[in-house]
Amino acid sequence: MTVLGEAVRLILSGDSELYAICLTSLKFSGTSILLASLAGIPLGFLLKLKDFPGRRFILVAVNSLMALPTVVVGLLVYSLLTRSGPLGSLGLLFTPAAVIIGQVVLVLPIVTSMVYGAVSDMDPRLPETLTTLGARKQHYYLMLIKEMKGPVLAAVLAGFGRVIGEVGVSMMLGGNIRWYTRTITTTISLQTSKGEFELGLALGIILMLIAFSLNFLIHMAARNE
Amino acid sequence: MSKYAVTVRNLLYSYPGQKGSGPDEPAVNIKDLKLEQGKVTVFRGHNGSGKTTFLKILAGLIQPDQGEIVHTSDRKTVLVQQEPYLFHGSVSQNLVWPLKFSGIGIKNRESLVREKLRLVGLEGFEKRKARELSGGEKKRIAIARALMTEARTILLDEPDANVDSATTQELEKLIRTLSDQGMSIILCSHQKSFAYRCSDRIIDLFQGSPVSHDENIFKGQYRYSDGIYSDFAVGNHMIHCPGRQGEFSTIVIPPDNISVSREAEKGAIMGSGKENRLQGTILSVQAYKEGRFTVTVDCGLIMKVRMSSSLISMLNLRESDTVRLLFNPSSVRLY
Repeated sequence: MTVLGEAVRLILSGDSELYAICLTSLKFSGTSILLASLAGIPLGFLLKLKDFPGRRFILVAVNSLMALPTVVVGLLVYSLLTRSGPLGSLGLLFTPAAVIIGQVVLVLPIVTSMVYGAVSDMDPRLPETLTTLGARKQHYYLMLIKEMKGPVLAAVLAGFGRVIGEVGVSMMLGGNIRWYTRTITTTISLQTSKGEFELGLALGIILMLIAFSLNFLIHMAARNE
Repeated sequence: MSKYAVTVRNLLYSYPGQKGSGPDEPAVNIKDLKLEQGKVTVFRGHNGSGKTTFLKILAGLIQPDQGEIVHTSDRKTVLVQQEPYLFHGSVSQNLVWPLKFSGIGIKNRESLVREKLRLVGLEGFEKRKARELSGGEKKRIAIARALMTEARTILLDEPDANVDSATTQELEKLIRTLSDQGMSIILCSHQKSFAYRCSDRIIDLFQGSPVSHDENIFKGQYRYSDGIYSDFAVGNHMIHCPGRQGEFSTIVIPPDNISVSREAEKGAIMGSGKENRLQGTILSVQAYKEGRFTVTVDCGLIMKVRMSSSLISMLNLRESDTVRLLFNPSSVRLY
């Protein structure tokens, strides 16, 4: 009980490190989901609406990668960014950029696959309506995304939930460096192993709040549709 | 300008999954068809007769396997679906999208929206959420949205499906109004009364092809009189029909219920006095099916009569013979 009380006190006291950690987490996750959405949403639409060489292969790859464990993504990107790796000269390992790259790799398949699924379930009357009303290329695709913003938003939020809660990628590629790449999940992991539960628990509560808000938003987005 | 809105030649379409089954059963197979401009043409047929597919081909949503479709008007043809898809947002936003698609910068958008809404009888609906309207209202909004495209031909897929009778009447009125404004309307329906009342021309589709139906359909003025029979004026002709209270715009005289006699034998016909008698000249005698023939008679009204081959040979009917047609008022159907 005292641990929980201490955790709540930490949250309420406005502890600067605690909030810095949260902000870092949100920054990393926000950036990676933004990048993943920019690529994943159009890709999801393209995979369903256009037939191009390699389409089937990408589909299979995207669906398989959805189940990729975070530590495996961490390992793959680590092997690329490590000093002796092919991209080692960029010096990205243990920087925010490395975490974001890893998280994009982790979440891009999820966003793409969910958008693809949403487009597959699209009301067949929508494309017909757009065509018959004379919507051409850019209008056509813009309207498709606009009309499907519910399921598309749900895909983005699900992806965000995945990256904000993952620990493998952040730990392996960020290195859990204090005031730099330390995130909510890496802190919880560290504090727990040190046997100091207060900060970890406080962050856990915040993480739960974020998860709760996300689910609420997904629910609202789905209902809107 | 040609008097046809659409000309169809040698149109053939099979659904992709059915192509392997051979060319015997295409979804749509139309040799030659011309649809008049400024008229209401109704395609009638059972489910799966190819009505919707044909409309989608006309709308350019489906590419036919072969054949040619010539739209006389360079302005577009717009399809309104059976259950129209309305965009998220307000009614007004729905109506404005076609303007944005065509890139026309129109200053008085609001007044144009108001005008189209008034036309479909939904004035003041601008701010309403489009997706929360009733089925009939959605259909009318979809028609208003189609009108925003400046199309001169509108395709309506079963406008009378899943709406109550009051809405059906509203839609009927709207279709007549649009037609009066010179719009060509091509619709499909499987409700008889709706088809009869709306149409200038009915085409039956059977397994993707038009079939002749030889019905006598006339539009005119119904005059209810308090009795067993009332009158229906078609131009200068007065047809006795059943006396039913209500508004009727169309009569159908089944060609099987008309008897034919030689003019010379007119004295031999006994009647109740209220029977409809029309006199005219035979335009053609054509085989119908199973030993029956269709005789087309010009009585001022073009009447089709169906009779057996034995009766035709007994009466020795030939083209340009003068005959008398006789039918009971109770066989006349009111719509």
